[in-house]
Amino acid sequence: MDDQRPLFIPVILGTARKGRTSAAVANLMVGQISTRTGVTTELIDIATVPMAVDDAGEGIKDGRFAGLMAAADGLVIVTPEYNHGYPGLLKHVLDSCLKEYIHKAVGIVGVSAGGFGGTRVIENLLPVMRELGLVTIFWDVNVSNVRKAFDESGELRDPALLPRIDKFLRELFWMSRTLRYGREKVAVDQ
Amino acid sequence: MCGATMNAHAEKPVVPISAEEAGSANAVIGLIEEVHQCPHCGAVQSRRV
Repeated sequence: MDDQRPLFIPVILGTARKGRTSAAVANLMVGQISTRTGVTTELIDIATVPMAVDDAGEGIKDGRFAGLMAAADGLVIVTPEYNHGYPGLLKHVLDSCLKEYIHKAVGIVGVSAGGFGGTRVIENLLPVMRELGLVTIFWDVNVSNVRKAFDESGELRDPALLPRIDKFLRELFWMSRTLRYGREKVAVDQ
Repeated sequence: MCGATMNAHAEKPVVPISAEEAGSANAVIGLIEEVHQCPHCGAVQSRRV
């Protein structure tokens, strides 16, 4: 394995809604990952991924998004909870790839306007992650009362969330490194 | 891609996306997507069998 190659952990902002408060959360995650050595990241805003709406699945794959997923060692998905579920556009974008995800780590950040921090949307997303071949970690980040958690400029008001994000990222990086070794060195028929 | 031998690390069960794939899929196992990754450049490739 090329140990010199840094981990690439992009952050997917999982909503295109105007005025989305999840954007501040996604920017926070990008900022936190950017402070870590040996890891690179990039914000992927699904609002900017060109997707047909008269078709679905790998047939509408966007070259740039697919390339980023292929290059990724792990993913952070920042998702709001809409009606107890995940945004339809997030699913539409995720469904456009498959082989690019296999045996890669994923951590989910749930965002809610209320007090539950997206626990329902995270639980709803887990079976999708499994079927896409992604390996989920046992840490989540739950951002509750998101409009109070961030100020008007998108800055985090209370640093109490940061230790949770730290644990989340440490586990995500461990899983990403371990799975990269497996993808590159461990054959399925061994 | 750099030309190095890729590692076949996964056999993922997938849903047939055409009548031809549905017809050729194994009755018990179904359709498989073999996934390969390069240990040097990280390139990803797959094929459905």
